[in-house]
Amino acid sequence: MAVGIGAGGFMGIALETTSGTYEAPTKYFAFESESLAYTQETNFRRPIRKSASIIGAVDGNSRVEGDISMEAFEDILPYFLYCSRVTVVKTGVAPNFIYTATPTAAAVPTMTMSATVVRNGVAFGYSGLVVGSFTLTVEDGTLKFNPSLLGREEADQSIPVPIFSMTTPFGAGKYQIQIPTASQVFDADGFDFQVDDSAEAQYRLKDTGRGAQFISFGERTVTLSMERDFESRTEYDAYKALTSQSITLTATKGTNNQISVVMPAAIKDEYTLGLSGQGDLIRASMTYNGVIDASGNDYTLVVKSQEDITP
Amino acid sequence: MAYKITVDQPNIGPGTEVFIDGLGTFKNGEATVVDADQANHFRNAHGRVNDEGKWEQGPTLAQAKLVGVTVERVSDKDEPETKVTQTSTPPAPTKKDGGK
Repeated sequence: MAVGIGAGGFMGIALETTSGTYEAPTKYFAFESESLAYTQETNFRRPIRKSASIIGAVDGNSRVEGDISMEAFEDILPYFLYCSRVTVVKTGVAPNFIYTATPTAAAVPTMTMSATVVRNGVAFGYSGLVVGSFTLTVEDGTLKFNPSLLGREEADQSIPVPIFSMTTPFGAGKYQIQIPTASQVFDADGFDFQVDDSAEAQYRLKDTGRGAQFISFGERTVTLSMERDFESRTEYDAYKALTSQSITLTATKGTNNQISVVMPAAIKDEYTLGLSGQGDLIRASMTYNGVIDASGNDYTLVVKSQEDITP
Repeated sequence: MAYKITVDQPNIGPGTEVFIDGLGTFKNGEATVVDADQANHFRNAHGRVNDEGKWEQGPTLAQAKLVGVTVERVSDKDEPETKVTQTSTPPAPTKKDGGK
């Protein structure tokens, strides 16, 4: 086999009918990088037996973990949401659908996915994947989606033929940020929204395989950081008073092609500004923590797409 | 060998374009005939150097696993006007056409 480069690689995903049972990909997408890996906690033996060296290895538990870095596509995001700690409600009629994801307190995901990654002509089939955390960020004008996955097993698979979606990413000029919601502002940048559900691989004693039995969730942390031009004390005073604000970012390519991030009750955790140099604009850097609103949600994601997903 | 390619992906709307690696762009819900050259290009695009260091052709369109795509062999006489891409240059005019 000849050496290869990343350009020849590709990835596809499929929602699993039975959690942990691999399914060949049904949806392919472009991505920037991935680091999915099979990790095993091998026990290298160092008993005392007249030797100062490792004398052998014993099977340890194993799991799959890694990140995907990609542009945010409205036809791909719902697949990952279905495998996150959210309830996804699908509304609308063909050809336009709306996927509304609201967080839950579930211990385990309701759905898992398989991912097939082909590297230098070799296919790796990962199964039982769950989104443990993810970020939605605006970098250089492009909306990026970076899910961190945890999964159960990996196995060799036949190489599929990818059929790629032709969806385009969201670029500069496609964003509306509202602070508070319904009041658009034009002084913010560096949008960085993060959700971390503290996913952990859970191992159980068994006689088939060494992979995680399931993936569990723990405490959820929702944060948002951004920078804004500093023009008055209003936001600073809100920080000191722990004032709750609703924040909405909507990335839109049209009425039926949108991704909206809503934090209904965000409270600033950090607010920093300073005089960093003669020529520097005075900007405030702030980090919000998502707090639940009256309906119990610390965030909501709304995706409008033509993708018709029937999980 | 020519093939008729019919994209039928229930998760996307009719007319939505998809890109089949090594073959080109197709519209969901539509059938297109690809000629032998395109079918060979598909095999080349999915070929690889095997463990012995030799080139190994990829699967034929009939062998490939194309999810949500129906592939049918068609006879040469069915190879028609509706090719995926127009890669060939127009033929030189003949005497009959008024050429030299």
